[in-house]
Amino acid sequence: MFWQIFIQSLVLIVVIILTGQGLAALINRKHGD
Amino acid sequence: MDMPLLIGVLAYELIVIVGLGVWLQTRHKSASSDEFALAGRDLPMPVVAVTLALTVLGTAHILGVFEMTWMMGAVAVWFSIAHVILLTFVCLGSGLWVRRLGVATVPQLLNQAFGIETRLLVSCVMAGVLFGILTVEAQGIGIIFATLTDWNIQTGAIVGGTLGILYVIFAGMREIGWVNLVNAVVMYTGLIIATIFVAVSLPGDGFADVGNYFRETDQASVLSIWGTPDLLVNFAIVNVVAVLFSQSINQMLLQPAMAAKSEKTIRRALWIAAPVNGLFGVFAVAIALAARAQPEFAALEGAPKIGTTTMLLTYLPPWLAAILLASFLAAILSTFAIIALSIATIFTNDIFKALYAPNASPKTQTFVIRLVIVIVAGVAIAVASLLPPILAAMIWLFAWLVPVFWIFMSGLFWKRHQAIAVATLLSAWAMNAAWSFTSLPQLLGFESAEAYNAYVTTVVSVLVLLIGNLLVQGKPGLMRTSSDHNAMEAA
Repeated sequence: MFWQIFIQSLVLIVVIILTGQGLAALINRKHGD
Repeated sequence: MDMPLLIGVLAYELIVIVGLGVWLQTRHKSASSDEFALAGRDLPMPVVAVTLALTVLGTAHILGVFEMTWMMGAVAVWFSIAHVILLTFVCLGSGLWVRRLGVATVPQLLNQAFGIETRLLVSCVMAGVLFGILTVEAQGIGIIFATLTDWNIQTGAIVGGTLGILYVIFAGMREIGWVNLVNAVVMYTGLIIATIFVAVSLPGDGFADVGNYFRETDQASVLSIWGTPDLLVNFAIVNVVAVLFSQSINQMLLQPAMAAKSEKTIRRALWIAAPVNGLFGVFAVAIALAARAQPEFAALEGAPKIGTTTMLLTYLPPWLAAILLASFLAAILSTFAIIALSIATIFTNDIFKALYAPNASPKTQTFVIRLVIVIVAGVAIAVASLLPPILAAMIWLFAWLVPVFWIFMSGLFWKRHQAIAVATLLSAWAMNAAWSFTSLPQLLGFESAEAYNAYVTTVVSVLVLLIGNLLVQGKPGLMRTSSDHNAMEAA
């Protein structure tokens, strides 16, 4: 039970960070920053 | 808890806080006015990362998540996930922008974007909101002490609040940062050992049996961080909106970013800050679910509030309860200290210096910051003894910062017009007050004001700002053109 919640959350955290980085890179490229 | 163990915990905190504080104070005797509030803007990556994580990890993450898990299950971890989204936005967005513009406070940035009126309005309200959060944190420290010792909440708040003042008074931001780094290690060690101990002490097959209990009693959704579709919309998304739109422009979270060595430091800090903050919620949720699955704790009166801590006290040996106390204290004290520092920074920079003493020397400014820290922390400890409700207070307080988020974004990336900014702030704040203190929600068909303040202020802010900006000419956002950007840096 513990590991199930731990791994679900960890994966979600990594997905959020990567999505954020992807979005930031996209916006920066569009604005030539 | 045994007296010697309690003394041990207090002695540990005192040695780390005062020892590191005094050592840093003697090592960094810079005459720069940025030294105390912004650590001379040279904090390294691990310190920035841990400070960002711990700044938004306080009372609500511990006591709030225990209670929410009891009521709705593992979906409560979304309180932490909302903070991961927040930290991502700060490390890749607002934190970088304030660092790039070289400001010391959020109101100072708004002064550059709009003018002094906006700066003063936001200074006063932001300092007020921060003070409200400070009283909640002081109460949290009191409750943690009262649960793990035989002290009352007031005594706990006084002892903890004093530690909180010491956490920042010697070397300001630099002290908070380095003490945080040490405390983060203690915090996670305490949490991990306590979780292992709970797993071993649980009757039957530990956490596996907790899972079986919920599956057998037809409550399998309690075990999933996605909960039910209803909870995902009404709890998870609400948290993301309230946390992201208010905290991402809050001085307390942007001050560590302003103190970072470079923008790269902030970007790299994300990979440590987000997991350190986010995974804390996982431990809190797992421990609370374990307590809820045990009939003796589930049957307690007021179980959601006290069930989890009662289980911890029953299962953990006194030495481990002491480590856990130290770990919870570390989380809350770091938040308490940085809030006190950010209120004092806003007061000194945006009110004292901006209005009354433009030529104040760095020494005078540091003195005023220290004085304000002691005064606001002292008053917050006194107010905390009135015990305002924790989560309701936080949600209400957050709503006040929502219009600041929208004018912040407009001022950087769209259009700058002081009258529109002021109108946005005032109308959103008036609406927030009307929503809370009149029968307006009932008139509009809602049963009560509940937690909708963040939505109400969002709608009003966006509407006023959108219509206003479309109607007036205004100057382009500070970051819209490279020439403006360069002019800002020169200024």
